[in-house]
Amino acid sequence: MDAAQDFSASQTGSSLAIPAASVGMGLRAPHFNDLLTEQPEVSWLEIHSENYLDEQGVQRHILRQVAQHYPLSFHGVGLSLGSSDPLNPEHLTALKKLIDEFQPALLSEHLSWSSVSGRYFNDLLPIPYTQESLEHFCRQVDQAQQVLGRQILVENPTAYLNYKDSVFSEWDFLNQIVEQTGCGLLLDLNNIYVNSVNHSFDCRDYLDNINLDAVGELHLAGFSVNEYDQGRMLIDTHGNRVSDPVWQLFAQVRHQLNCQAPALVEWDTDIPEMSVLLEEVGKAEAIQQAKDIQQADVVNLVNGVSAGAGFTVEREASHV
Amino acid sequence: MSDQAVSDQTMSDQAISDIAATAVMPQDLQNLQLQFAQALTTPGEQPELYQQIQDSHFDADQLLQIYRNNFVLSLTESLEITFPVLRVMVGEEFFAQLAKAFIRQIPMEKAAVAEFGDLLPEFMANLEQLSEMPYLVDLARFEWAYSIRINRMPQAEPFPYHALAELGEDDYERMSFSVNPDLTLFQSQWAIIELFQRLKNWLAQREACCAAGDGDDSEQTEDDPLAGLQLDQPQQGYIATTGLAEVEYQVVDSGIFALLEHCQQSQLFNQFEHDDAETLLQQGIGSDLIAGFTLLP
Repeated sequence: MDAAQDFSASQTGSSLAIPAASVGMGLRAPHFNDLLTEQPEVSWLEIHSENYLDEQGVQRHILRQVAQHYPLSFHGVGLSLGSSDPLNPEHLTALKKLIDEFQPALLSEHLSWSSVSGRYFNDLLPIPYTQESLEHFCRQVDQAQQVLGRQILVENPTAYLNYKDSVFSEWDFLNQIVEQTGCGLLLDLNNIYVNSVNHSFDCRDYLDNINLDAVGELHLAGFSVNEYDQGRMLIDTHGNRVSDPVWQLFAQVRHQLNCQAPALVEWDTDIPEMSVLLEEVGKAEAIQQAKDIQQADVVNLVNGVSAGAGFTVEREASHV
Repeated sequence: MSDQAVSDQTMSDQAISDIAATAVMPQDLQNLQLQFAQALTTPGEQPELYQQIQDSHFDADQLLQIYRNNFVLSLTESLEITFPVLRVMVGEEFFAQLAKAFIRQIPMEKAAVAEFGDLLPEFMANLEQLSEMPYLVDLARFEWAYSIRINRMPQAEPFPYHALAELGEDDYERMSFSVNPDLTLFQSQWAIIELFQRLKNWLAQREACCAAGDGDDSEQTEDDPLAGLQLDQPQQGYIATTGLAEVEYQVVDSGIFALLEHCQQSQLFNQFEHDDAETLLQQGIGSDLIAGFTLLP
């Protein structure tokens, strides 16, 4: 792979830096007012880049105010790095302008595709882990990093299906991308847990094999459970409190595996009041501070911060 | 811009132009993704795609159904946010069916979901089921314009009265006035602006009642927000961004609307044929609908 520039060490200059082992919160439009008026103590905020691309937009205007108080991370959902299409120059140009204006401390995207033949699907769709996909994905990451002039973190996805043609495990695929492009990783612990249940593997295998040195950010989120006649399926809705198993993974990653990457509480659907997100941030901080905590005690610890970690169960009735 | 910034920009521009030049088509990946896309947009058997999906206790189509649901439901939610007035006008069930058909048939061409919906009015105009309710197309058109306006910051500068005062008499013949850039003109053969306003107010009242716990949706829907509305009255007006997430929409008389349309086409003011041209111009400037002028060569 022809990586013309080494991005591996370039965490770039940000107007406000994100400290290691800190906990941030996803910034969503319903919380704009509360955030700007209350200015709660949270170490950093993460936005979905695509909501802020319009230079004259209201959201961009608000982000300019937010950026004066909080370090920022930009999390993309639309670059479609895994698409067989070439990268969209128009999207990339708009993203570059956004990044140039705010110089976020972190920049991330997904190991997925969301468009083909120029048509977008507003979803993070799975790619097969083949040699062809690997070479293509690395080319796209290389090009994106060249255009944006900085390192990207690539996030492990949730996938409800696997492809027969895959020849790599997901962790090997991600490790190869890191090695070949100098990108970093965004490790979503909820996604690992959701996939481990849906595809019957042990999270520990994932964590033992993924290149933790490359992890620049962690994600914590909640899921839903759909019950079908054939069994249950965890759905990565990002619409609930962080589940107990994911808190346990977080404690494991922080304390046993000593990964000190900043962690984010993510909540994208059925967005509750900001205070709920701040409670989740508080739980993550409590776990971080409990350096000698045993796995069995993690659940008690987070329940002590606030009651009610869990997930919702939905009967899948409506098929579109 | 500093030399370093110029250099970085040049490198970035070069990298963007290299994307198309160096594109290598991953054939197998493309075939798979095209089949997947087909499965998302078109219900029905996809045997070639099923063969590529690993066996599990769910069959391949059930797994694809999860993605199909997410594709339609996430974009439906986006359309519901953009078109709440249209939704209340046509009813939730019809809106859901309309959204599903639109999402499946009209490709989303940008990654930013907020930009999805601009083609909904055109899509509706071609629907047989709506042929006897053409005003719904105009309602969707108005609501899309409203959505664009409320999501943008105002850009207009105060009218340059000083520059106007410095003009010589000969310059007046070369003057072309410009419409306030925060303004979208709207015209319909139906009373769409009033229809929108009534439904918007009704929705706001319903939300306020729900928030205060004074009632639920079913109680509120007994009110008829459209009582006495004469829908078959042509209306023209504008929607304007006036502040942070603030929008104003107004019906205006045909004279001022004709002037605004004339200005929007960058035509000379002295070519505007109207008995009250000067009065209308003063009215337009005084109410901030006209925000500047240029002298054409």
